[in-house]
Amino acid sequence: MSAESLVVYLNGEYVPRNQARISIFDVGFLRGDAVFDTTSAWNGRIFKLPAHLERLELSLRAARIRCPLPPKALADVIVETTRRCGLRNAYIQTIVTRGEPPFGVRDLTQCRPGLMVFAIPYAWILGPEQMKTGGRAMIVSTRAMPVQCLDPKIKSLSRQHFDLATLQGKSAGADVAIMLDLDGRVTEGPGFNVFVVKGGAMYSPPEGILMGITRQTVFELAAEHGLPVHEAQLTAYDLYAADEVFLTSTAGGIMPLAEIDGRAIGDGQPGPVFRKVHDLYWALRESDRDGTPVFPA
Amino acid sequence: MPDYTAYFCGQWVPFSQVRIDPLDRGFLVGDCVFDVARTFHGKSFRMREHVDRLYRSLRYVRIDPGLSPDELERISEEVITRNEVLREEVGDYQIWQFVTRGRGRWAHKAGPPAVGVCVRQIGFSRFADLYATGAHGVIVRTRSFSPDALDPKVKNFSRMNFNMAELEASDVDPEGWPILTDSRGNLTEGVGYNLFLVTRGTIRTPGDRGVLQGVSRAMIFDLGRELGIPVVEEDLQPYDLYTADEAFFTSTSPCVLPVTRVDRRPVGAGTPGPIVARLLGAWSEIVGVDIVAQARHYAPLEQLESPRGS
Repeated sequence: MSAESLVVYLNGEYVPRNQARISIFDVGFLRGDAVFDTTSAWNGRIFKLPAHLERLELSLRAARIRCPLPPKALADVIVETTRRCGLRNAYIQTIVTRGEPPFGVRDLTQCRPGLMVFAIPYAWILGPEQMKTGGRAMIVSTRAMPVQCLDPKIKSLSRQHFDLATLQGKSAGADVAIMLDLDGRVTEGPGFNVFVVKGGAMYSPPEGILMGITRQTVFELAAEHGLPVHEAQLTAYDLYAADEVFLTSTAGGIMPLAEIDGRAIGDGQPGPVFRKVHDLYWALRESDRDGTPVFPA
Repeated sequence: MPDYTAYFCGQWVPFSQVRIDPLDRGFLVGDCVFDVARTFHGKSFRMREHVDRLYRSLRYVRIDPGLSPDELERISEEVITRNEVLREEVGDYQIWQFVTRGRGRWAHKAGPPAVGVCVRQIGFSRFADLYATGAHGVIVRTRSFSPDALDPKVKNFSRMNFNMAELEASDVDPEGWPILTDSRGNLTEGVGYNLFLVTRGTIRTPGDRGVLQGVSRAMIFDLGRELGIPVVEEDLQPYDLYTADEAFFTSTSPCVLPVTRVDRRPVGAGTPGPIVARLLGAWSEIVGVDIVAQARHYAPLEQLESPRGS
């Protein structure tokens, strides 16, 4: 799929990706004042689209931004954009910016919100090799955004610290970065949630994170299959001392870690709980359940 | 309608072509740094300090713009020169400089950066009346970014908290300008402007932990020396603002804006104070522009006319 054939939905129109442009004075750009959500399609079905739309709606409400389209019409645009891109396995991003206020006006309620949807080929945070052997993570010094500054539950475009964390990890040879909060509690990484396995049970931080849909799916699968899972505050120690650590994301599903900060996790191999959850997740993705079809049957 | 000329990704183009690829991480992640300078009668003011601050931001976020500071400074001056013929009708310009991370699915593989330098009219109408009436401040509940997460010294486009603060301020006072605190409850700054107050003849401002290193903020220290007014940096709390004799904001476009109300209560006498007047007077003399008169003159013209560059 060449980049040229991809289209972007931009404020009511489908435009070739290379022609999509936005004003530099849109506050979505100037201040990262926009919210988004990311869904993915696998085998031509978009996973848990209603759950993603609901989370987007909550981000919008928290940010006091109005979506230009009602939920049903937005769902149609997401499906249509993916269809026009011809992608069966896709990573689909929906962005609502606050827009641009009239010149000289400080009142942000006078902004006209903008809507953009684009689809690109599905991508994994960990590459194929790391999916087999387990990835290497670094707990970086860049801290998660404190909830009192900008709550990470709002999926906003103000996330330069995520790129800085990733670059910090990469420059030290790690595949991914994990961030602590100001009190040293484990939060999440750029675009993924974290699970620790200890004594057969799974644990995931409860607060100061994006409430990941894949994370939620792990909780649901665990309940269905009798796997113990809990929300728990975790420190770096808990990661180092874990039997297994895995990551969850719309960009890659369930992904194993083998090493954190130079310490092997468990026996340094992706573990049995990871494998179980991974297989359950992908069985779900391959099934008809929770999937919105992109292409007509 | 003629268009301003701008520098964008190595080329001189009409401003209308300076538009961002939404797949650039500058937009997708707010991974972009910027700076804004201004002119006085068409002459740039402390441009090198703005360029140096931009390069500190770039260094912090690990973006290489592919231009040296000297080159970017030359381009910024050239943007002003190229648009000089259109300046008369708007008085003066802001000069915007920005550098994005560039396009890419992953931060470490993204690029090349998009580099833009453009002029925009000042936007006097946002503040021209406030020299006489004073701005209304509101101490909002959204906190300044923690330097542990993303240092507020970096001038970046990841500042949704600033707009949340704007909305919270207007809930309290329709004319409210947000004032932020850090997680310890100390006053920090506004949303693109620094905060000062005056207590018994001393100008006080938060230290530069967790605030933008404002070029106009630095100017206040210089003017204080010149006028013989002590200027100190210290931890300040809302108490200090509520009990101050005067308060003011500093920012590139308005330079100094008096603050006469905070959280709907008067600051000092509730009118712009004598130290603000002295600072504006001294600043005007140095740049050869009556800052207040210029804003009052151009604000109504701005409103009458459909602006370029926006």
